[in-house]
Amino acid sequence: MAANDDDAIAQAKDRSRQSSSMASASDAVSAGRPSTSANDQYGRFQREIVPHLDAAYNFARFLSRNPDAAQDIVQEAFLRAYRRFDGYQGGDARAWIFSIVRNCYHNWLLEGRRKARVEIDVHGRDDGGGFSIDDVPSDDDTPESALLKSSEAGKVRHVLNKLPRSLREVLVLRELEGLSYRQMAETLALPIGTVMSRLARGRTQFEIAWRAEAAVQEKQR
Amino acid sequence: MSASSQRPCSEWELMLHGLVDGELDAAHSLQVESHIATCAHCAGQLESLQALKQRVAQKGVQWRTPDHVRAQVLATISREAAMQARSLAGAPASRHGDARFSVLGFVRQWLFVPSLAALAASLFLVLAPVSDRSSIPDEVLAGHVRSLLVDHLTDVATSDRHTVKPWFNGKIDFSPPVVDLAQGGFPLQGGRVDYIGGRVVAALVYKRQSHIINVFVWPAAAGATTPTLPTTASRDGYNMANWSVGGLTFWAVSDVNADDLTRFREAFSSRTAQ
Repeated sequence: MAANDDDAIAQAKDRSRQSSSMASASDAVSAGRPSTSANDQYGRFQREIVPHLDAAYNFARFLSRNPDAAQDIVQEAFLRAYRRFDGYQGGDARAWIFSIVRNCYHNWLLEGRRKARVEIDVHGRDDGGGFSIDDVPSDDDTPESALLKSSEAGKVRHVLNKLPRSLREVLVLRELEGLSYRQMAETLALPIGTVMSRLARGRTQFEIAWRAEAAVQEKQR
Repeated sequence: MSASSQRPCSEWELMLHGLVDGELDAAHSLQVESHIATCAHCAGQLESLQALKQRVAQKGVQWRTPDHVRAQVLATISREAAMQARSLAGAPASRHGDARFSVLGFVRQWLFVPSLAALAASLFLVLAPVSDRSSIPDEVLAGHVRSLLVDHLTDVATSDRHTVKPWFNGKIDFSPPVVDLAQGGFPLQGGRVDYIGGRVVAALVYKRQSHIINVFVWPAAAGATTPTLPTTASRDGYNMANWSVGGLTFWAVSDVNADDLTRFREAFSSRTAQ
């Protein structure tokens, strides 16, 4: 492919610097599309929901602690969000997409549990338990690797990933996504008082785990 | 070791969190602040809370969305939008509203099936192979339409191919040839990454007068060593051209007329074959 790069045509380049006005092209496309309402919905979704894709991915990644799962969860969440978008009344967009991400995360857990039961059928636990898989750290984001913990940010991720999910998610929503207590209550479908006490507990647990981590590293030195 | 000696001001604890989170009203803020002024324990607590907040919120903790995830999510949404538009358009004009309503009604009924999760999972399993089978030309066309709809034609907008080519480094696992065809009447507009056939692909954007030409590039499937014969086809009013060279598959799609697209294909492939 390198052979294609050898000739630079400056004059052609200058000629090609035109304004990239897209009006005619997009007009042609929308004229060919019969349903303007579908396009409206599409445009609105692009403006109001898609900007929260990064936040949704971050949330899914910290919930699942697994890059592949986070990808699937976000993908499924945005598809569902799009299908339900005409029922969305314009409340808090982030709380809305976060709650869908959370539902998709729960489905991913159920799916994993179902598969685990089919594949190894050893744990005769009843379905109501709900903690077994959730609290086993996944192998991707929680390895005890020096690489992951080489930076302070990496250590923070590591310690967050060690916390139980209920505490991890309030810390992520509050400290990384900057949600208000009210938005968190909406996302998690909890009373504000519960959100506050979980947040306080989450911070205390984080502090304890952070110090323990520092002590371990001190010893290894 | 009583609880009160461990946490002498436990009744203030939530208020301290509310203060660092900026969630207290003026009256309560004053109340907490005047307490802190007289209580070394709570002042220390407040300080360590602020340090913790800064530590957790520091740069590099938040996960960045990988480009291929972003491309895949956007592609899924636009495919869904295209499917909805197509199903609405497919209904007879006179009973347009009715058909639409009954489809929605049907969907709603099923949405409220209690075993939604199981249903969704099984639907996904059923649908996934089908979407795999959706033809490459369909996906290429969807990619083209999407690029015009989303106002996301280019991630890197420049007519300078020496800027476009290196931009792909690290975003995709191959190096697409970027040629300047301005002399042939096809000025380069830029490039972006897209998602077609289950993989992240390079998309090069050219212009023919006011028409946009998208060229999607990805490595040819292993085993397909012989370059396929160039083909040109028309679909839904768009013209498409497909060729492969140097182990890469190229799909050009545009609403320009078939002759122009053929000329574009010839210009592009002759420049890459050198």
